[in-house]
Amino acid sequence: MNTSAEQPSPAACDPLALAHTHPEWSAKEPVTRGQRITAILLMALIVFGLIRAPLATARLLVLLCTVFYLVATIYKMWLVRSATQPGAFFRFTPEMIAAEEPREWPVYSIIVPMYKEPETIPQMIAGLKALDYPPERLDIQLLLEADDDATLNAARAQVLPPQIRITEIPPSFPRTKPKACNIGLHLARGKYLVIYDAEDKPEPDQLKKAVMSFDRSPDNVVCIQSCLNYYNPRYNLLTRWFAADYSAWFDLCLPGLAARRTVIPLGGTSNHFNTQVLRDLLGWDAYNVTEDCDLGVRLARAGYETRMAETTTWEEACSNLRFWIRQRTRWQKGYIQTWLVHMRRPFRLLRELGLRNFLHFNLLIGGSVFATLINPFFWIMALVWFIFRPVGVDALFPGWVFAMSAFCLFVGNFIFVYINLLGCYRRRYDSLMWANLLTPIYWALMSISGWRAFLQFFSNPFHWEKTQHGLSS
Amino acid sequence: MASPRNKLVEWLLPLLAAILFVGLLAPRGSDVAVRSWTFDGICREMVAGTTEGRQALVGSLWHAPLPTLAGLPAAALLPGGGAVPLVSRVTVLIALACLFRLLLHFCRRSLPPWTGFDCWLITLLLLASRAEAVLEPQAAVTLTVATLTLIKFADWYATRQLEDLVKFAFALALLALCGAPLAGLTLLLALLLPIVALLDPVRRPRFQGLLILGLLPALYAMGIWTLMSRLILSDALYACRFLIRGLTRWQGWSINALQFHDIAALACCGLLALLAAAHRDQRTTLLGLGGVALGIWILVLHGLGFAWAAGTATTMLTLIALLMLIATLQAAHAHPPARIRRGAALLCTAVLAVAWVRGALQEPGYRSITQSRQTRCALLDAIENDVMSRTPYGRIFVCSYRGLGLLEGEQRERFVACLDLHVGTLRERYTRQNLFLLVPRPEAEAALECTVWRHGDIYSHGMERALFAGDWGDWRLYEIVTAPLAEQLDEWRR
Repeated sequence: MNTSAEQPSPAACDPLALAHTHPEWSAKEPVTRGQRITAILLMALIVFGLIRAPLATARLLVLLCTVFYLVATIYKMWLVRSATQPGAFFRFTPEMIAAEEPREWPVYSIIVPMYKEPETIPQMIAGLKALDYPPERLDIQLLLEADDDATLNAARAQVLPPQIRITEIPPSFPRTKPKACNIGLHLARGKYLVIYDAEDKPEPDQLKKAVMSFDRSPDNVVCIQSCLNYYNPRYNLLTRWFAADYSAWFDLCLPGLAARRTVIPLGGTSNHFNTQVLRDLLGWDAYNVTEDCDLGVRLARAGYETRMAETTTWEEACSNLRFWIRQRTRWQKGYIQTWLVHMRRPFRLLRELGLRNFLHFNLLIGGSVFATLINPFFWIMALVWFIFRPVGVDALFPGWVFAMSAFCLFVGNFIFVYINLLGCYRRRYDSLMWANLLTPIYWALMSISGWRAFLQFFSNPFHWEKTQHGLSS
Repeated sequence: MASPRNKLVEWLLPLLAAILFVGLLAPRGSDVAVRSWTFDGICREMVAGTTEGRQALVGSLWHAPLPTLAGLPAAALLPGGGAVPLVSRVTVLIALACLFRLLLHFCRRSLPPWTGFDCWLITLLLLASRAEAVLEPQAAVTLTVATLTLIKFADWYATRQLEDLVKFAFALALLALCGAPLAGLTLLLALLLPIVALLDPVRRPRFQGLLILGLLPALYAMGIWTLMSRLILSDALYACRFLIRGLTRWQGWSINALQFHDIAALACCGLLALLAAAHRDQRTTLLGLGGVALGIWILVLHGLGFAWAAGTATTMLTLIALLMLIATLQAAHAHPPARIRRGAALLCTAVLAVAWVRGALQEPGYRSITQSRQTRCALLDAIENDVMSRTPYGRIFVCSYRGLGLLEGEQRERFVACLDLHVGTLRERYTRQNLFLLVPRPEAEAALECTVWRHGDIYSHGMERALFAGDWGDWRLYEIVTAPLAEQLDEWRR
């Protein structure tokens, strides 16, 4: 292992290398000229249609949205069904891990980006110390902003074990987590690398499970995603919804994608990488506020695969509505960024991903944001129809469109709630299931943050709305 | 590779299923042709987007939403009156093919790919030979869903897999949407779920989760049905109103209500269930329990005075007996020694075959769909002529679900289908016209409709403002008496 004397300097690293060398892969330019022209033409076409043939145009729009809803519903069902396939997870029992010993475990790098969260330092260090991995094979970096005195002081006040070191990130624009991670990647010494957030509590044997997963995977598998969940799911109604949502996403949907060997939008933390491949891909996009999701797509475009391992990292669910909306806003803004970045050249994307992955990408990344944006309109239409029964609304849903819409309204929405319930059941969160019968309210909150994200994307695309931790304690 | 003997069994099982199927699954106690026309009529009205179609979708427990929805694609794709019987046949064809597939899957768990084709072929042959009399679409869909539900429950009971529970939960929701014919089975399965969850020490800690996952889809389906009923008919419990009548006229339990074929099927279920229990075959034992529950449900229907509605339950009971028979044969083949199981299966086959022959000899011949069409055309002509002889401005409202069947494929402007009868509304909407009501005799399912529970006196002496005007077999005509309008009086005075 290298000593700290041999450590390269953070200053020698270009954390914006991706934006500098491959600007077409970076969200630095949020919308390209071609995309702007396409959007304007599309809007003009819709406005023209609404003026010249309002009913026909409105019907066409309703039809397209309805088909989208139908496809999204069937797709989600299919994903959840896929999660029961044998290849969905790598599963290792304690006996299997014990059977690996004695062996030479590879050097494992852990990077923990932190900003203005001094209160989490003791808990985080305790969590890292609890990892069941040979300490001499660990290379842990706390990535702290050089001007964040409070966190720096708190970290320096701790007696850090030799495998943990502090890396100071020089202040520069943009002040985002991926920029710090890129510096951490540059300084990492391990064969594998994982990111944890400050408040994360990974299961102690997670690193060993990740190594064993890599060992049992083909060479093109360069990322292992762990499950994420919350240690405070019962704090309030919001955390109950949030925990169910995460359970459905990480325990059902992502394993479904992994089972189908498709593109996976990575979760924020606990993604384990082959360090060298990550360096070859120039790390994270410092301008993308969901850099993990973007990286998952770039891995797939480069011909690599991501798999899931059945090991959990416990996080803190945001329990305050205001902060929750801000967090969701960032995520959805990042999804918009990611979708626009990769759809700059749709045919190239299609060629690189293949049709199957291309459809997955559009449904998962573009589709999820699109749904949160159009949902309010359809909910209002449904409510108006139920309460006032106006003739005009009927006219928008002729024949088969009505049948499909009714299916999506009554069956599709129920299926989405039921998937959350399944996630809870699988996580043994039985007591959270009643709260999830109110999930439609949670969807309304998602739509609020979706629209906020959409507007913020144009006004402040790189703004990182930081999640406030420690609210539940 | 499968041995020649195994291959023979793989071919023989579908064949055995087919032979027993064709013989035993003919419905009893209901007129296939009439119900098929009614089904087609509902589908056509739905496709046309009429109010009557929407009312028919949610307004009856005997013409429940799911079978109608299953028939809609066929009705939409096969336009025109001439193609009408095809809608029924296509629906039945698909339902039977699914049923076969389920049967064989249950018996063999994993099937060779060609068995799907095998099933379709047998079903097609069946339909070609007895297309009009095998099954009505609603019963076919209900039976398929019920079989799926039972099998999935048995699977979950045996495996404890979450996937099986989810499939069972959604199948139960579909069964709930099939309405009253097998409501007893639906209730039994809904009750069994918490009981199994409580009794099993492995499942007990997850009781709350199991209850929500297992029953929520069915409760939601019922909730949507109720909501739609409230929105379309302004009465959330419209489809259940008849129950008050049935419950107040409870006729008591009588074992004599069971026919010979019911008893034969029940006996087979009981015997094979005991045998399965002795061999620790949980899935087959549970099926037997389902059979016994259906026997009780048939008795309940008789007690409520709905003996005419027991056809689907009887057919389902026979189907379960058949299913258990094949499962027993398969188990005997796969897990020797097999002497006792083979003997029992042979005995049951003989009993079921006797029941089939006896039933075939005793049952009256079914009217074919073509015959039914000619009859109803003649009826409509006669009524139309009668009304025309009274007034040139006559309009006839054909009440009840049977009315939808009566008018199916007919382009007659003088006749209007009417399910939710409100005489005042009709008078307001059709001023200056002489209005007539055509009402079916209050027999069988027609006795459960709003003409009976809302306007029951119409059958005794004609209701308020409606006078008896004629009798045509199963139908009665009433004339709505309307006070002349002021301008009409002025006109007459002039």
